[in-house]
Amino acid sequence: MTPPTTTVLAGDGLAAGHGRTTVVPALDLAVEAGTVTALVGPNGSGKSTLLMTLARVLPPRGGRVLLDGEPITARSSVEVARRLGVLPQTAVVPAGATVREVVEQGRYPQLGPWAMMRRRDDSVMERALRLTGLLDLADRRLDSLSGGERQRAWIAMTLAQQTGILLLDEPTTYLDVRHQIDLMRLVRGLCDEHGITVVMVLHDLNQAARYADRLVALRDGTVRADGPPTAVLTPPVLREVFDVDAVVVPDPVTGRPWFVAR
Amino acid sequence: MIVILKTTVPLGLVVGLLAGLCLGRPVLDPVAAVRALLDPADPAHVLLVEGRLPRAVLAVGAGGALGVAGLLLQDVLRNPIAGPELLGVSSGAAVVTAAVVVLGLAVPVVLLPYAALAGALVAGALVVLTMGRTRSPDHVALIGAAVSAACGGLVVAVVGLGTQGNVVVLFRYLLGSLAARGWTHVEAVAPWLLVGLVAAALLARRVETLTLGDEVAAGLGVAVTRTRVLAVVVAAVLAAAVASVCGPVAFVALLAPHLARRLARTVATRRVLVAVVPVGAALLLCADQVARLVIYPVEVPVGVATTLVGVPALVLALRSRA
Repeated sequence: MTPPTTTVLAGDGLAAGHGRTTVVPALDLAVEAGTVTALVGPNGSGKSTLLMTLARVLPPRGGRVLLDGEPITARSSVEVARRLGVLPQTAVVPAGATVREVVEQGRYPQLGPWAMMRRRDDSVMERALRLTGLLDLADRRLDSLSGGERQRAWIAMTLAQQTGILLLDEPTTYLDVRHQIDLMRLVRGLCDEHGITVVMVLHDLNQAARYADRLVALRDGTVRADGPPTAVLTPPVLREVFDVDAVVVPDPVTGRPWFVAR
Repeated sequence: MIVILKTTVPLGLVVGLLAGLCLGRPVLDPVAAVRALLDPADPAHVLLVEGRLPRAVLAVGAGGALGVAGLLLQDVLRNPIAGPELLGVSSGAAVVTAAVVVLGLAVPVVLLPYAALAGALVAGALVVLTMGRTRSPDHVALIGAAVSAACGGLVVAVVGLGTQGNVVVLFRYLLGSLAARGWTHVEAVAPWLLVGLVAAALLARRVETLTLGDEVAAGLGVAVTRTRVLAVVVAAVLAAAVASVCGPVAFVALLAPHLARRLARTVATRRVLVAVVPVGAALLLCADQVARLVIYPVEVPVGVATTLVGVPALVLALRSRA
């Protein structure tokens, strides 16, 4: 079952970095429509910087980002935000804001800056809150919630944006096991049932292998391995990318690769 | 706290307005004051229409504008203690006024607000220009504090050149005052306030996304740096207009947004914006009455009164986190 693929998001000779430092020197990456891609790699390997540059949150230091085959800069930032949603790690919790208020911000690109007092479109909000299991917490203050609940609120905000592409930077951070599994299943479902394309930075390699269609392993800003989990989660790649001596066995539930450090 | 606020704000506006019309020399009872206001033949009519009414109107407009300026700055810099004081705007106006008064510059009284406005805008522009070089909201606050301190130093230097007589005049101005303000003052600031308020309303939705962090706002399609610069410009214009006629009125811009957030039961900028105008207006109007009454018949500068009223109010507001 391999229908003809289309590239929805691509880096073309993309160089990325913060301020004066370049973290990713030059990278080509094409993300196919309706797939889940996981970026993996050690701390400081340039995963988040690459993700934020693909999301045009950081300006590229060279090369370009292509969205649906066109330079991302050809569209206005709001138009991009209707096509592509991004969850950065630097989200700030405004003191006193409720979950609903934060999730509502995700509606900005659809409603625009002039929708001052417009009634919020509740169905989209409710869906985002329901999918993240936050309906009961919707009117609680975000700063009174646990790290995992906050993280789910940020994901709900990104879902409320209703985009065909989602870029998530370490979405499972702070989540307990139950909510990590729920979130990964949610991501899988968004992709399988709604054709949403997901690119996410993950630290848990087994989780990445289990839920992603494709792993991209980065080290020092370059791609060291790229392909389906079986091709990337191998002892040689783990040694080269993470300096980890590991055994890889089939996951007893799914048959996907499962790694254990030696 | 919210119930108290909801009743206090309209009550403050009504009582403040009535007190503004009744008090002074002569003291009128409220019925007589309203009658005199409406009846052109009444002996007190001119006093009310030309003296007490414009002063009250100015207090309402200036208070509302300061509240909006404070809200924009606090949200866009993600800093709960941000205010126009941090833009050097008030001290920019003070430098010009001090120079005019002390150095005896030949500036007609009618033009003095405009000269002060120019000084305020120049100081604000300095801060805005340096913003182009930094992405961090904390840096903007630091730069503003530096410009403000520099202007404060200039004021002291200029005052040092003055005689005792004009130092007294300045002293009253530097603490902020609404005394003897008439329709000319209202007319001088009204267009600026109007433009500033409309611009603030148009910016509010974008400013709200900035409270979630720069990267989140950028991800939502908001031009982060442009929005931040625009919001600071609007706040500077509002605060500059107020400072040009009333002097640097302390505390209203800092306090009004915090009270308005509790009143509106939200921190969402565009909803707080609606509440912050009446809150700021009531705050300054009531502070002005306190200024006129506290050691009657001598007036204290309203800047002293806003601090006297504002400090306990802020402490109370922060204690009862809604």
